[in-house]
Parts: sequence; structure tokens; C-alpha cells
Amino acid sequence: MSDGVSDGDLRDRMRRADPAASLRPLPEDEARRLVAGAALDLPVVRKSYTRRVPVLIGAAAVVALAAGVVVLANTGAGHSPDWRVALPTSESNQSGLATGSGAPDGSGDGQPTTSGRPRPSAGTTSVPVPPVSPSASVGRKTTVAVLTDSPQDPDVRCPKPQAGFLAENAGMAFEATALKIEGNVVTLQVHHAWIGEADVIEVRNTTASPVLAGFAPEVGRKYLVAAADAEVMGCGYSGLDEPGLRAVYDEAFPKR
Amino acid sequence: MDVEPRRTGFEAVAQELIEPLRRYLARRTDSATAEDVLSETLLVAWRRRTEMPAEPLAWAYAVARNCLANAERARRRQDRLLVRIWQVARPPEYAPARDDPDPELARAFARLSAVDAELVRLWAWEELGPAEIAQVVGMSANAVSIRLHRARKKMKSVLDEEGSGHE
Repeated sequence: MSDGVSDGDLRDRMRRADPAASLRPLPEDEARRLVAGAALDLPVVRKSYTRRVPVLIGAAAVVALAAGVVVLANTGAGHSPDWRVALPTSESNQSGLATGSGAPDGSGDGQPTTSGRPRPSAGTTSVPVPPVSPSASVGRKTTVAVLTDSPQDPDVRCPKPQAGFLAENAGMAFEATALKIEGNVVTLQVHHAWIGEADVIEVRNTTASPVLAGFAPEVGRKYLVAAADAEVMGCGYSGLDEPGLRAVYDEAFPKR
Repeated sequence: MDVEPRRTGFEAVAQELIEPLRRYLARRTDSATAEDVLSETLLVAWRRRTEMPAEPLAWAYAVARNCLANAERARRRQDRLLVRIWQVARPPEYAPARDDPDPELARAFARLSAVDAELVRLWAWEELGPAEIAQVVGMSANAVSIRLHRARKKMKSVLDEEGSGHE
């Protein structure tokens, strides 16, 4: 009986006992998130992502929106005459990472978080993120923006974003890539800061809507995010990384 | 000095490596650890991307193996007391897990050294040849061939003794 089991038999038997046999493939967006995280040299970003001691920002209110409409939600303040209420433009559906509170970051030295100059993105889905040095994320604080979506007011329209207005109001302006979307929280890795300082932004969508500011955030895509008084600026001031919006950021915060 | 880095190439390769790495880790640790180690493995792979060979699978397994070993070392340090208690309480003979799909196979595995058992796993589950296994475990291909042959022979002998065959 000593030759009863061949190598092939042994291998077959082992395969039948393979602990990974029932392992289901990782969802595509999760796989992309993992690779994106690695390429950013950012270690595990999981639910328990609390070791960085996030700077929680004002959960109080904010809003923004999709078609570029922003309303102060929690406060029920309705519309204000500033960027929160403006006329929609053709770019309005690109704007949108709306709001919330951003971290009260007063450092604002405008130093980029990476040494490289950000490049315009075509908004591809292939994780268009620039490399970051291994130590780039070490010891940096995390900025957490709490987003509150709100019903859109069709009468409120957003004007085309103005560099002057952005410069006057934004305390933070970042280029960031969506690393993961988990429940109502979108985590973005910051690559470049025009003003303010942060390593990671977490935007929480506290509304029942599955979309953020009128569009579905997508892992691996790059966004430009501006925040004023702990609120992400909507109305076209935050949104997908597009040359037009980037030009507004560059004009608002010229390199010194 | 620009290290910009063939990022697109890395991402494409990494996407292909994810599932094999997940299976590799699922076979060797619990799901939570596997998740952490997978992330760490990709991170290390990114940092060492310039060393990545054209056929990266065995190389990636080696990275994962090291990351897993590091994770387990860290856990052992943290749980030293518990480990000690477990070792004292552990029965001298291998006790198959209640949900072990093939206790006899598990017993045969338990008769092998840790290194030999890993060679067999890499051969059967990862379907690697001796040269690739050698790359993963850091041995010569010749040594792998010899040890793998002996390990399989020993396992088959144990299975034969138990009369379990593979019916």
C-alpha cells in the first residue's frame, strides 16, 4: 500500500482541502483602493483608521451640492449670498465634493505635501496619483471633513468659480485622490496643498443619498477640494480635478 | 533622480497579484491578519518595485511571506503570555480543527517540519515549481527539489498508513 498515493493524488487532495477555495474575488473598487493605497505609500487604511488622531471638524453643518447648489443644512440657515448660493455653470456637475467641515487648519503655509507639481488629470479611473516619498505621510495630521448633503434648491444657482473669491475664503485647498469609499465616508489622500496642511481628508456624507454632492465618488479619481471655515466649498469650488478648476486654484494661490 | 516610477506598470501588475496573494494569505492566517498583510505586502512591493522581476509572482509571495512573518512576530510579542499558556496546554499530538475538511491530511502535514510543510503548500496550492519555491523561501532550487520530494513521500506514507488514500 506504500505506493497508493501518487504526487497527483496528494496534490488533488490538498486542493480539495484548500482553505482559499471558497475565497471570493475582491470587488474591483476594493482592489483598486488597495493598489492606490500602496502606490501612495500609505499603509492600511481600514475602518479602524484612527491611529492618526484625526482632527474632527465641525460637524455642524454644511452642505453643498450636486449641481453646484449649496445649502447650510444643519443650521437650516438656508441660502447665503456667498459661494454657498450661486448660479450653476456648465461645470456645475463637476463641482461637488461638497462640504462639510474641514479641519480647522490655520497653518496654511501653502507648502505642497509632495515635492512634485501636480499634473492635470484627465479624470481617468486608473488611480492617477503621483508618487509620494515614503515619509511623506508620516507624522502628518489627518483632516477630517464632515460632509452634510442637503436637498437641492433648484432656484439656487452657482456662478463660475472665481479665483479671488477662493483666495479670500478658502482656508484649505487640496488636490486629493479618493482612496476608499466606505459607507458614508470618503477618504482622500492629499497630494498637493495650495493652502492648508493635511495628509488625508475624510469626508462624511451624512445624508441618505448614496452620492456625494450629486455625483458618485469614485475610488482612484482625483479631486480638488477647497474648504472654508471647516466646510468644504461646493458650487464649483470643489470637484473633479479638471484644468479649469485647477487654473482657478493656481490663480488663487500662486506659488511664492 | 526622479523615481516616478512606472506607476502605471506597477498598478497593472499589482492588480494581477492581488488575488494570488489573497489566496496565499488565506491559506496561512486568519482573515483579519490576511487583510492587513495584503495591504502591507502591496506597500512593500511598491517601495521595492524596482526590484520586481518580470515574472513577479514568486517574488510577491516572498514579500508576503516576510510580511506575514513580521505580523506574526509582532502578534507573538503582544500575546506572549497567551502563547505561553497555549503552548503549555497544547496536547502533544496534533489535534485537527473541528472544521478541518481533511483531518488525515492535516495530521500528515503535522508530521512535517514547518519548512517542509511550506514547500508542499507552495507546490500544491500555489502550484509553483522548485525554482519558484526556492525564490519564495530563499533556498536553492536543488535543495527545494530534494526536500520537497522527501516531504511528499513522507506525507504519502502517512496517508497510506492511515489507509485513507483518496477515495
